[in-house]
Amino acid sequence: MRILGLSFDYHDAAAALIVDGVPVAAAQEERFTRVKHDRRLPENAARWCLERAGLSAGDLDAAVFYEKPFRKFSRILAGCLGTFPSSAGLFRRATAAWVDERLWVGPRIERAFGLTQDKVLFCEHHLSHAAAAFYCAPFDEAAVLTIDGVGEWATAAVGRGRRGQDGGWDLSLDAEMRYPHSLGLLYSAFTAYLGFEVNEGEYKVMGLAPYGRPRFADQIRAMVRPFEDGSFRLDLDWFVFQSDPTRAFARRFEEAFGPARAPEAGDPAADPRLCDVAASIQLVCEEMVLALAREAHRRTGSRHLCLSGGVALNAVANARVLRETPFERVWIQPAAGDAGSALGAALYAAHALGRPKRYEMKRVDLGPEHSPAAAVEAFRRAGLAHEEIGDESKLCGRVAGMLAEGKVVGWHQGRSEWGPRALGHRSILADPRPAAMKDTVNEKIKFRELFRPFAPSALGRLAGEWFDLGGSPAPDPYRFMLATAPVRADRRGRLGAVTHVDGSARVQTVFPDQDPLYHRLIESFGAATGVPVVLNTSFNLKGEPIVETPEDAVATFLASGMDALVVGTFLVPNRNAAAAPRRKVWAVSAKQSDAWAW
Amino acid sequence: MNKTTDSGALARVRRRFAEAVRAGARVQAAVLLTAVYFLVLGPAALLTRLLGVDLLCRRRAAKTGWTERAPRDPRELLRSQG
Ligand SMILES: [Fe+2]
Repeated sequence: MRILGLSFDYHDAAAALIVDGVPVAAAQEERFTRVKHDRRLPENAARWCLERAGLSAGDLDAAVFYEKPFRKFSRILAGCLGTFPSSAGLFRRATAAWVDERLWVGPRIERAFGLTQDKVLFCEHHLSHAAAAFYCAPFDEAAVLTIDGVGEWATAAVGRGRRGQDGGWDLSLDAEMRYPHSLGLLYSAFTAYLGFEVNEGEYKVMGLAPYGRPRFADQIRAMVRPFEDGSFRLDLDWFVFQSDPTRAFARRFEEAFGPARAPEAGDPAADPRLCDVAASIQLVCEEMVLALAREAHRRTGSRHLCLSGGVALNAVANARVLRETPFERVWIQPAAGDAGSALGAALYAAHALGRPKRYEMKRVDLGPEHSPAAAVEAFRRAGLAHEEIGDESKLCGRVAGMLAEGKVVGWHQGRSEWGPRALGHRSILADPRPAAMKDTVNEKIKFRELFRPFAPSALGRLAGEWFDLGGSPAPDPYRFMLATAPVRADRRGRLGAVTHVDGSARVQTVFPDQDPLYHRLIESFGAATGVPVVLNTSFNLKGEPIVETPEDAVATFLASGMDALVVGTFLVPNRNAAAAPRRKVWAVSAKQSDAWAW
Repeated sequence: MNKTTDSGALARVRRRFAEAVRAGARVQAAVLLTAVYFLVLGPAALLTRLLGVDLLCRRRAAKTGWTERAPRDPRELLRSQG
């Protein structure tokens, strides 16, 4: 059975193709269009998925959209009713957008792919999240927890996946929390207050938090009003996202926490108050995630937890779920946000319509790969001299040597990663040892905020010696950089560039079964330096999508201060005659005017 | 040369006209939607309040934020948009 999953119209449009229950291709539209968070119908991504599998749209058994558009619109209207008469602006903007385009998801999919109406299906938003986790996890049975901003009505849901009586795999959500009571929207309100872009800057809040003290936590707890069963009701007097199309927090926020930070204002880490606000919301978020996870355990009694939804990208909260809940194993969908729901919707339909074999997601390279000829052509066009190093172990030795000398290397290999993290296929790599490397990469390469930490990729079998991973083998989420871990105290001095101010790191454990080439590279770096860890950050500049093609890689290489570039087995050992780094915006960010739940 | 200039000018005029039409449509839609908001949603909002419908789950007396979900047949679930 061939099923195409689609998510679009909100942010981070994506497509995923499932053949006989196995994902064969999945990608975000932004990688093709170079529009960050592109939310348009992902025609490019979908067509590529089909091409990759040698199929045409006519071969599809179904195309599945990741949510229920009519139900979502009814929630928006109900929200406008509930906040009348202050929601006139929201009603105008949302209704115009929905009547113009979003209500017609079905016909748009039919038109785009030439499908008949009966082949277009609609999953539920949180079921899509849940399926993206459970149907990729290595569990026969598990509790399932999804937490995000909002889907149709649901903002969090709890349920269970297990083998059904007919031998299939059943997934159901038993209870949900409903809009506007949302942990994701609460966190996003603080993201906006701290001057970061919603649906993008949440990582920055998490990165800023360790610089502060959570002295506002009690005030935030009071606005959340938690119940004993992990659920909660937001005190809506603090928020306006339910009636205002562009704002999230009410004036009371500024009375309680001081003036909001203007977008793109100076370094927030230099302002202790802003750091304290970030620390406070992060702490409360962790407490709420823990309470929800404990409730999932209480309801199911399961030893396993599958976690998904945008909040499941909060690596610090995830680390606490690993350590502080009764679950023995936790699996988190690497593309936990809405993009991942394209995959989830398709998997849900595959299991609902057929009885496919169980799939386990061990690696995330589900995106496009590019031919050596494309790389050579990209070098030629840019006038970059390159060497071909046919042998992979020679290549790894050479690159490891460059990293050890302090060079920063762009690393473009094989198929691109599914999800927001670069895990060694579209990465910028550097030496994790000198603390100054963090500033070098932030300032000269990525042009991003100095307070933000960088993640390490560590050799899986040795990672426990360097990071306290809370068990051996390391919990699954570390394979996909989905949780933080304390850097062992005696190793922090040797991992200066990847140890955050609180002594933690968002570490990725790399095993040969997951990525043999990247594993070999880290091994080579370890052999050269005694440190089996490299600094790994996504191959993009601030505000741009991660690179996809060799051409994208070359453009980013030239626009930044990277020292060398590797594409496949080709090495561009230096910048040659290319001029000094020239920062140029060659990709744009999708307008996020509708970041607030409509 | 003249022909190019003429067609360039014509294209500019056409573009400006299209922009003006779009702007006019936006204003018209905004006026219409504002009218719908106050004339249709207004009375509906009044009615829901009179009937005590708690659309945004604001009630403080609640003991939980969970809403239990009824089981649904997965195949059926996939068919509907609502
Ligand atoms: Fe979501």
